[in-house]
Amino acid sequence: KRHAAQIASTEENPAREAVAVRTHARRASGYSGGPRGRPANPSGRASLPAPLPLFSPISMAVGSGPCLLAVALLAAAWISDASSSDKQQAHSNQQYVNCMPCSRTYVADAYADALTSQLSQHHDLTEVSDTTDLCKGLADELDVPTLSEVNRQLVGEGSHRRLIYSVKFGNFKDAMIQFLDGYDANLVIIEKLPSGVFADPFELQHFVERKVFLDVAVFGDTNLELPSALSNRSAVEIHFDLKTSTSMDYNLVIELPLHARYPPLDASGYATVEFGSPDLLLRYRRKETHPDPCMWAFQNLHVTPVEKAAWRIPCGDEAHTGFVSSLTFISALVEASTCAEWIRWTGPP
Amino acid sequence: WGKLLFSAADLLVGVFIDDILELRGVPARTRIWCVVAWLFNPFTFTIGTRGNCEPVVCAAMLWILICLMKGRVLQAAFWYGLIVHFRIYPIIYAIPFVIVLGKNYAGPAGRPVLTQWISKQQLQSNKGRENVEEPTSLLANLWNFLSSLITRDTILFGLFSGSMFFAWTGIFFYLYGWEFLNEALLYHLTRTDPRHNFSIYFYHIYLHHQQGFSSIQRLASFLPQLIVQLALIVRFSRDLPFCMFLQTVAFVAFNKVMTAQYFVWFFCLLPLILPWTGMKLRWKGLACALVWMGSQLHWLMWAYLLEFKGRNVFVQLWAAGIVFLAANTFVMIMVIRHHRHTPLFSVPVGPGTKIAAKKD
Repeated sequence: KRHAAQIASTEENPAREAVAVRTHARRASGYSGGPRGRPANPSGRASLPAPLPLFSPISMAVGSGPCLLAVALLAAAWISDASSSDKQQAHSNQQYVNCMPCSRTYVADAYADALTSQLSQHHDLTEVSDTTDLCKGLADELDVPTLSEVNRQLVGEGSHRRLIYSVKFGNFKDAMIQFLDGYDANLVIIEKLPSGVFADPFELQHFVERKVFLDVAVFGDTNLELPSALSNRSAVEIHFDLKTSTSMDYNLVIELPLHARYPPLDASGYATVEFGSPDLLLRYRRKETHPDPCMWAFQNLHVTPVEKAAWRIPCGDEAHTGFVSSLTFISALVEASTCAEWIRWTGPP
Repeated sequence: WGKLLFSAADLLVGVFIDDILELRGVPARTRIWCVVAWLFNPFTFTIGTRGNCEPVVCAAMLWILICLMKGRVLQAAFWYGLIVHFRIYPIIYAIPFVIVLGKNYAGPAGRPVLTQWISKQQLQSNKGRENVEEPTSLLANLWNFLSSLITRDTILFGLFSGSMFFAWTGIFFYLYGWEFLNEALLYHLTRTDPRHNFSIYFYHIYLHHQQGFSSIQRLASFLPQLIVQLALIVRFSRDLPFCMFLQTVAFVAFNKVMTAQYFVWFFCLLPLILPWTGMKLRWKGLACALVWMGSQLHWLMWAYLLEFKGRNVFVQLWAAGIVFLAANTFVMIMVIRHHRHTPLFSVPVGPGTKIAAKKD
């Protein structure tokens, strides 16, 4: 269903289509040599090659080139996915897992360029990982922790507020301890900030220094001074070490401080900024000293969409322009002339 | 370690203030109060400890003043070129420096003679014999005035500080390229700060930030600044510390962006003029301080409501900015009214020179 929504949204924007097509194509090529014993590739697209020849002549016949071809590929992917999604749910150990080499510290940096343009909220992050290798052994029957509840709230007043995530894991405590004994596990939260809100990278670095977060990164526009109309969007990626959560009974509370930019002018005097859904991933790997090669496995923690958070920021009113500008310049001139007059007429006796 | 450096610079400024006043013959008791006015000023020591480099700039400016007072023109030029490269604002002192270095700069010994401080009682009795110079007026003696500017010292100062400035700029351009030039210099030409600050222009800039600014608007914002600076220079250049102080206050007040750290620029010069003011702390001095701080607090209250409570008070905040500008103007006028205008360098007393000085 997520894929369907994603495809529907990408049909509007050729650029986005290109990204999606690339990833789908990559997956298609990678799974030809998948490990035995697995009913289907994680995305369930074993049937992709078959419908493809049917669609491509049709798209070429219509003749609008790459765009339609992309649409065709996506449609094919969607059809095959829809048919196998039932299969996916049937197999509980059919984990939707992706892997990334340890050298890649952050997940969201692949999005860094896309963020400067209009970014939809529907991209499935894990698709951007370049998996040629299927993390052999990492995704087999493993009781990976799942989330039972996620809450997100915007707390505070004025231009500086905090986004507080309350994350509860659904596993039993023993299962969690067992998992954390064998694996290094991090919770990865990726919050794509709406236009008009930014995170201060220096402030977040202090959190890392004080070991509140394991790591944090801000992608996109981090200019702290410009108003929204002149800046681009950004995204924050937080890594939280699950080992530290043992004391909290695996109920995590994560605070992300945020700041508001000056919004574009509006007659109502206030602008409302809405947050989209965050992406929550679990990143884990075996604790062996030299795993070969070193790979992080990612589990997309599907959660019910969190409640919308909305931030009301005061903004200027264009109607004020007339009297503000004129009075500003007039006052400045009046003060300046007053000063000049006094200077002229004052002197020693 | 930056904060330690700036705090050390802060203390150095105190030392320099003491030096300057001592050179001008201010008695020790008065000097101590003046130094205290800097060292214990809550606006200033917080800036250095906060990590702002302004105390370093202040220390450099005072050192330049000391060099000029001791006749070391080259050294003054060296530091002036460096400090203008570091921070652009001291360029406003360029013309007063040149004027002061003009004809009557060096005494017969080749070194400048500093006008010594005299207490008010002495001033009353000495009235007839004083060699007090009148502030130059633009209309009369314009030609004399301009020709007096062309001396060995002024040319030396101008050329050397100018070449220092370009040398430092060149070095950093070589090291960092266009990025340096854009960030350090060109940025000031096109900067727009729509975020709220003390300046009266902030709301105007915010309202126009999506449309851009016409050249007329840019020029219009420079005009009041220019008027006041020129008026001050023309009238008060000879009393150099006083001129510098007023110029800095005016520059900060009429600037397109004004933040609290800029106040340090004139607070370091304030102790230098205190011994010459007729204004007593009670009540005129206190009134000035209270008016200035009060209007600032008023502005800060609205800013707090805007930023930390999220209320739309843009118009009120902008009006508070205009009130603050009026307060700055008030303080400036009060200071001018009560100041005993005393040129920094005096022409040595002698029958022939006295007449020449009066003509000037």
